Amino acid sequence: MIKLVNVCKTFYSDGKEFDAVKNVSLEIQKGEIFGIIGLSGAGKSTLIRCLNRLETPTSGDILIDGESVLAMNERQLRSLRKKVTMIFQQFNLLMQKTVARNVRYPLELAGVPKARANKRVMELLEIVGLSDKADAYPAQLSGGQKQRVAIARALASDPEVLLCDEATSALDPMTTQSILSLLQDINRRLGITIVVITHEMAVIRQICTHVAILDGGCVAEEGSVDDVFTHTRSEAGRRLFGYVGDHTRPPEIEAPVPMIRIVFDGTKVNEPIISNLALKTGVAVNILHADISLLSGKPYGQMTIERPKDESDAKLLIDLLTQEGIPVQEVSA
Amino acid sequence: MRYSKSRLCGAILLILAAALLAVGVLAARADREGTSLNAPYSAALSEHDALVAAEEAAASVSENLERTAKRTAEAISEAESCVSAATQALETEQAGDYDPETDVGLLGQSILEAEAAGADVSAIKDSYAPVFNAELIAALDNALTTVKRAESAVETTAEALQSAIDAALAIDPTASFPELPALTEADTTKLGDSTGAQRQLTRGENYVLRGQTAQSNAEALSDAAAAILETVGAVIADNPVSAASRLIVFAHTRAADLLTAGALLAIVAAVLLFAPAWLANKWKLPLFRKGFWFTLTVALLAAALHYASGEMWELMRQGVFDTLYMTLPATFFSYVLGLPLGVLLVITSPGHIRPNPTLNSVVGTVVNFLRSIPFIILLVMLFDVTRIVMGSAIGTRAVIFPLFVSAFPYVARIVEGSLNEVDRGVIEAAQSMGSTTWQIIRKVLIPEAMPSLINGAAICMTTILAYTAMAGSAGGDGLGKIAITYGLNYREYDIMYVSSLLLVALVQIIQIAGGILMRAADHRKK
Repeated sequence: MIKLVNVCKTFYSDGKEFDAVKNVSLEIQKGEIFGIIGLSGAGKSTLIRCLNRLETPTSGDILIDGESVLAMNERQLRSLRKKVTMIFQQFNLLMQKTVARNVRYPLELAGVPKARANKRVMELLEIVGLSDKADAYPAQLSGGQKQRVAIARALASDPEVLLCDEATSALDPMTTQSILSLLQDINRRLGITIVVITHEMAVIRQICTHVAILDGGCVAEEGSVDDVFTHTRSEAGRRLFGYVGDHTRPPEIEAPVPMIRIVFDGTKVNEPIISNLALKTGVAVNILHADISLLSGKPYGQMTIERPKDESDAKLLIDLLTQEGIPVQEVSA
Repeated sequence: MRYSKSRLCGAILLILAAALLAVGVLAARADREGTSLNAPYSAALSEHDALVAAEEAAASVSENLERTAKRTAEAISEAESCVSAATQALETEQAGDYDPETDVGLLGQSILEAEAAGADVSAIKDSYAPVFNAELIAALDNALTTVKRAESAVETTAEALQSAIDAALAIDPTASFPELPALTEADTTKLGDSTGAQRQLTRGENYVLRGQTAQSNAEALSDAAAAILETVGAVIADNPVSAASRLIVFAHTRAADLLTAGALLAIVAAVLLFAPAWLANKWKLPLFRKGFWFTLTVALLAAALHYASGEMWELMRQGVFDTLYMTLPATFFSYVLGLPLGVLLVITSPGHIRPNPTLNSVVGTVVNFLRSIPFIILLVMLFDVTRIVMGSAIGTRAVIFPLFVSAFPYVARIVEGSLNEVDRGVIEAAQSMGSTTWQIIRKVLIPEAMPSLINGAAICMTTILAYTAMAGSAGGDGLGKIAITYGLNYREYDIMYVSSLLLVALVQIIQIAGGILMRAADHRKK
C-alpha cells in the first residue's frame, strides 16, 4: 500500500546541511497499524510528513497504491491528501469554529452539499463519541476531546490512510488509552491503514501490528511488533525498550553487574517461572527489574535478573529457561 | 455576586453620564432653537423673579433717597457760591474797575494779544464792555451739571419708587399704595436776554432755585417712600418664595456649573473607583473594564456636548461629520487594498503556504516606502494624483485619497501581524486536508485571525482619524482642523478643547466598539 524507497530528506539552514532522514525504505501493508518509534530528533516526524508531502523528500520515492507521491502535481496532491489524512500532537483545530464546523471543513473543501455534510458530521462525531459537543468550540474541550474532533475531521474525507503524528504525546495516560482504543477501533471497523509516529513504547505495544525503529534518520530495526519486541536486535531498540541504560537499573545496585533478560511471550506468563527456576536449579535468583503488561491484548513480560557469578549456575539457569521456550538474552554490565 | 460592587459602580456612573449626555444634548438643541430649557419651570422662575425685583427695588429706593439728598444739597451750595461770585462780578463791572489779566478769561487773552500786536484794543474792550468772567462761567457750568444730577437723582428716585410699587403689585395686586407726589419744576424764565455779570447772576439764581426745587421734591418723595417701602416690605414678607422654587431657581442659575461639575465628577469617580481596582487586577470581568472606558467616554462626550452649545454645537456637529466622512471611507478603501496585500505578505513569506521571496520583498519594500513618508508630505506630493482621482486636490472629500494612500500600507502591516498570529500547525492541518491556497486564506487564515484583525482595524481607524487632523492643510475640514484653526489662529481655546475632546471620544468609541466586537468574535477563551 505504502512503499518508501530510499527516502532521504536533507534540511539546509544557515549554509549547514542536516540529514533528517537517511535512506529509509519501508513497506506498509493495507490495514496495518504501523508504528514508527524513535527518540526525539530521530527524524520520524519528518518521515511521516513526507508521506503526504507536507515535506518533500530530497531523494528517493514514496509510492502510495503504486503512485509516486513525488511525481504528483498540486491537484493530484490535494486529492492524495484527502485519501491520506493526518492528526497532530497539538490537534491543530480551527479555534474560531465549532466542533461541527471543524469536522465539516474537509467536506466543505470537497464541495459536499450542506445538508449531506451536516449529516456526515453527526455520523463522524458519533464515531468518536462527541455527538453532544457539536456546537462547542475547541477551547471548551479537553485534550482528549480535541484529538477526537481531529480524528473525526481526518475521517471526514473517507481516507484510506490515517497518519498520526505524535497524536497522544500531549495527552495524559488515561486519555492516551482511550484515543489508542479509538484508533484501533477505527482500524478494525473501517479498515483504515494507520501510521503512528511516537516516542512512547506503550503506544506501539498497545495498538501497532508492525513497527519500525528510527535512529538518527535510519531504520534501525523493523518487523512485527511481537518479533521486534521479543527479539530486539538493534542498540536503538534496546535503548527504547529500556533494557540497558542507567534508568532501568534499580538505584540500589551501585556497581554494574552482568544481567540476564528474560522475555515472556504471553503464553507462559501465568507460570511461576522464577520459583521453578529456584526450585529446580537451587540457584538464588536476584530480580533487578520486572515489567509485565498487555501487548496487542496478550500478556507480555520482561524481567531482568542478575547473572549468577558462578559460571555453571549461570549456564544451568539459561539452559533451563531455553528448555522452557523462553527467550533469554545475556546483557553485559 | 462577586462582581456586584463593580457592576453597581458602573451602573451609577453610566446613569450619571447618560443623564449628563441627555441634558447636554437637550441644552444644545434648545440653545440652537432659541428656546429655553426652563419652560416647565417658568412659574417658579417668575415668582422668584418678582420677589427679587421687589426686594431690589425697595433697596434701590433707599439708596436713591440718600443719594438724592446728597446731590440736592451739593447743587444748592454750588449754585449759591456762584450767586455770590456773580454778585461780586456785577459790582466790579458796575464800578468799571477790573483787571483783564486776572478777571478776564478768553476775552482778556485776546485783548492782551491785540496789545502785544500793537493793535487798537479799545474797540475790543468796547464791544465786550460787559465783563466776561471765565472762572465764574466754569463754576456756573459745574453748578449746572450738579443741579442736573440732582434733578435726575430725584427722577430716578421717583422711578425706583414706582418700580417698587409695580414689583409689589406684581406679587400682590391688592396692595394699596399712596399716590406719588407730583414733582414740581423751578421757574427759570427770568434769564431773559441779560448780558455780562447780570446774566451770570441770573444763572446762579436760577440754579439755586432749581436745586431748592429738587430738594423739596426729594423731601416729598422721601416722605412718601417711608409709607411705600413699608407696604412693599409687608408684601414681600407675606409672599415668601417656596423652597421648591428656590431650588429650581438655584439649579437654573447654576445649571452650567452643575453640569460641568457633574461631568468632571463622573470622570473623577470613574478613575477613582475603577482605576485602583483595575490596577490591582482584582476583578477580571471584561464588562468591568469595558464599563470603565465606556463611562469615561460618555462622561467626556457629555462634557464636550455640554460646552458645545449654539454655534459651537453646529461647528462640532459638522466637525464630527467631516471627520467621520474622511475616516470611514479612507479606512474602508485602505482595507480593500491593505487586506490582500497583508495576506500576500504573509503567504509569500519564507516557510508559509506560498513562499515567494521576490514578490515578498517587492511588496514589503513598497509598503515600507509608503509608510515612511509622513502624511502631511504625502498630502502635498499627491496633489496632482488626487486631482485626477478625486476630481479636486483640495477639500474634505479630496483628502480621502491621500488618507487611503497613506493608510493602506499601514493596514497591510497590521493585517500581516494579525495573520502571522495564526498557529502554523492549523495551517499545516488545513494543507494536510488538501486545501487550496485560496481555501486556506478564506477558511483558515482570515477566520482564525478575525479577533486580531478586528482589533487591528480599530487601531487603523484611530490612526486614520488622527491623520485627518492634518486635512486642514489641503482644505479639508473636521475636528482636527477646527482645533487648529480656532486654537492656533483665533486663540479660542474652548473650541480647541471641545473639538479635541470630541476626537478623544471618537477614538474611545472606536476602540471600545472594536474591543467588544473582538471579544464577540473570539472563541478561544469561551
